[in-house]
Amino acid sequence: MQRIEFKNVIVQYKDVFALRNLSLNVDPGEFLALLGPSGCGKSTLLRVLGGFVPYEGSVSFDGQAVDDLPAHSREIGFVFQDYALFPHKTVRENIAFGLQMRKAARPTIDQRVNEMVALLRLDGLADRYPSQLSGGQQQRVALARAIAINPRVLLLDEPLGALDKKLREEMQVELRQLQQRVGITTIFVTHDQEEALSLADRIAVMSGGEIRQIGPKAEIYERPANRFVAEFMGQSNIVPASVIAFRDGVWRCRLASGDIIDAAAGADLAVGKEVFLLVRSERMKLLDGSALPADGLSAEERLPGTVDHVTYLGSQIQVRVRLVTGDVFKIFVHNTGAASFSLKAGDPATLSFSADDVIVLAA
Amino acid sequence: MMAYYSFLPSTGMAQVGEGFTLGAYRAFLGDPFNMAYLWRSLRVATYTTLIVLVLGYSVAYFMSFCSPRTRMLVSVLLLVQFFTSYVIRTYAIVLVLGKYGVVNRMLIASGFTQEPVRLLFTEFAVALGIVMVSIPFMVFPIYSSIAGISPNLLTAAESLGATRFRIFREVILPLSMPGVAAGVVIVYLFNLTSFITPNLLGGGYFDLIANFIFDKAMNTQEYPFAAAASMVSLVLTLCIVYAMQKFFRVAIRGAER
Amino acid sequence: MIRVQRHTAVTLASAAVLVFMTLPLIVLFGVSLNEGSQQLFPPQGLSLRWFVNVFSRQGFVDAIVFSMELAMMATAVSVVLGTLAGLAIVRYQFLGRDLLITFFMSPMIVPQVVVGIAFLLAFTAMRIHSSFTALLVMHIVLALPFTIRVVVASLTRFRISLEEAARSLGASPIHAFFLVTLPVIRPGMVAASVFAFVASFENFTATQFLIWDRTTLPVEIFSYVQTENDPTGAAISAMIVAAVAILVASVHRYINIDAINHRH
Repeated sequence: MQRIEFKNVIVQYKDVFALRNLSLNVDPGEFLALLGPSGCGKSTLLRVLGGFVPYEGSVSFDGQAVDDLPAHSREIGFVFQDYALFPHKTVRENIAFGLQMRKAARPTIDQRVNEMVALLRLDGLADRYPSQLSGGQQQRVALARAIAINPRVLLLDEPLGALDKKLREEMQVELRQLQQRVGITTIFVTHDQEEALSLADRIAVMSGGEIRQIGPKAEIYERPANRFVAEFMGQSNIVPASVIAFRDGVWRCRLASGDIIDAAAGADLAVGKEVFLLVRSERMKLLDGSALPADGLSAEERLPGTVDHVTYLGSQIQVRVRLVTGDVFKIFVHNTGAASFSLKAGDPATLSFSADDVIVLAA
Repeated sequence: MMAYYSFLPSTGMAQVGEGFTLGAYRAFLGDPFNMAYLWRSLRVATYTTLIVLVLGYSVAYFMSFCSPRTRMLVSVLLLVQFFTSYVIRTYAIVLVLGKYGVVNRMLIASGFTQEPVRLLFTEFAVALGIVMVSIPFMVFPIYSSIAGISPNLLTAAESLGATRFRIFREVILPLSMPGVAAGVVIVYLFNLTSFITPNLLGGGYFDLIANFIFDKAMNTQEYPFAAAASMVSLVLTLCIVYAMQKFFRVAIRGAER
Repeated sequence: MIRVQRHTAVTLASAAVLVFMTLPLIVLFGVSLNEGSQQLFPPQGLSLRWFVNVFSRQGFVDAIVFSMELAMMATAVSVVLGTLAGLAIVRYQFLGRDLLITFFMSPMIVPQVVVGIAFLLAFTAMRIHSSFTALLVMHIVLALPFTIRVVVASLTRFRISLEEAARSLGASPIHAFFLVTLPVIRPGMVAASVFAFVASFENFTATQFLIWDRTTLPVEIFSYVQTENDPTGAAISAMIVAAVAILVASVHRYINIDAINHRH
């Protein structure tokens, strides 16, 4: 259980900055997800910690700098995207590898390997070769191998990417349980926000070599700090607006269409500022065209629009509503039976939501 | 392309005693008799390469659509050829074409001729030998290129209504050009500087430039002269390779449009 | 693979070519089995006496031994050097990398005769032109393009994450190389060894320039068939072909056709 600190880490290759002056702390036992699109630097950060990439700045475990330590002395457990299982060694030998490197005694190695086999449910597969295992099994071997050496931190580089959806969800649960059981500090890289939300305690959203926001997952989702993070985490229903007044703790904003929306939250705002308003799909309700427009008195905000497209998705029905401003908002309606949903493309509709659910983002 | 400079001290110049002169070069380049070898080599290399191209392409093409087992058999056959010393392979041809060789004996036995036909020691024999020996070099690169063509392209072409011939012309041929280029360059170079084949099959009657150089170096010990001749050949081959590459790059780019 | 096209013309042409190429080798075998001392095909009478005769001739025996020695040493050295060079080429970007690659591959482009002369002149200047060392160096140089090419191909396909995994588990980079990388590219190394060995063993043209009392097998066969007229030459040749055939058939799985190709 170790605390990890990154201080002012810069990774540069010729003219390209993979990481820009990045600082980050990871608490002992925490499960941190590094989330972001391809090329944002999340894998690079992981590899910096692993010692595979030259960097400027400092990385330390529990206050002790490890910058001068080569990869093989850093006591880390790394799980690669392609698992990197040694094809010429059996499962048992793969798991034992790290212990052999540490010159552990034979009985110790055997015992530990057996522990891992049991922990990762690999019973009966111990003497097989990686090519004889399924994707999920290979995954578990990779995990077992990394944990066997009791590393200071567990690093996972998009390990579930190659699995199909169902298996991936199962593995996510297993991984989380495993991590909590073993209690090891873990950093997990992914580009899938659902995965990040499902696994992590804290999420760091990255782009362009920088951390755009870091915090507990609820905070990332409910209160994104900027447009990038907001759009990355879930459905982005965004419309530009300008602030026209502040009264009773509520910011009043005007859309290009003339509609007025009140937003409860929002630091750093001032009258006249250009902002973006964001409302999550699940916080909105869909009303038909007969609903009245917002009257500035009730706590309910309303946005009129026209139904653009209706898609049947099985458990839900997705409705795209085009606002007067031209922006499209997506809303999901639960499928409660055939007759429940009668709107079709071209029908007028109104979206209704609470001012508390309006997120204001800087322009 | 870099010549093996560290192992080729610039002894193209005469080192008789001291001083460097270009006398050897002058002697070589100036004398039409000497140059004749060069021209002859170029000529032979050109037409043999063309023949090998046609034959090699057929085999490579065949290899790409036959069953995997046949393909393995063919490639083993070719590899054995490739790895067997040229000496042995060429000697085998001697046995076939010689005065008492297979061909002659068949001809006499079937009554075509009375006397053994002189097949060896002719340009025909040398050309034949060169062609046979260099076919594997052409097949492998071309096969590699053809094999690299995604079957989806062919299926797409077929679905758009192309006949087999058109598929070949429009899809396979252009996309195999890189392999063809590689093969042609290799084979041309190899044929141009062939030594053993003209030696064994030409028997001194049909020497090529390589034989000429060897003779000058080992037999008459005219080192500077031989060195000059080799430098000329080397420069010539490099130029040819460069020119071919240029040519093929244009051809490939055209084909890729 | 093109699976649908079945052009009978091409099939026939190819078959013809392949038969045409294999025929002389068959003749070779046939002639070597002759009973009499005439090189006849089909053989008259079957006898292995010429094969035995090969071994009774000291020249051949010496040549075989010499060629083997030379080839084995050249192979060993060129595989090691080739691996080092291959690693440098694949893993590192350094100034003059392309130049170095071309430099190492040049023996394949430069005509054999020129190579022979070049080495002869160079070594004469160093006064070691009639020595095992000289010949060995030349053979190593001749074999290197093959080994480097194969090693580079193997290393390019090698997933670097395997080595990184080993390092993350505590193996030093060198340790990781020997424990993980090498075993995984072993098939490639085998292929490289085969190529190198054959390249050295069968080399003739360039070797000719550096021989003195001791000769290699191809050279010995060459001089023999120029003067003698019995099936002994055919016999030793047939043995070589058979050996090569067995060798090729057994390592065929490992040999990647691309390894033979030029990059041009």
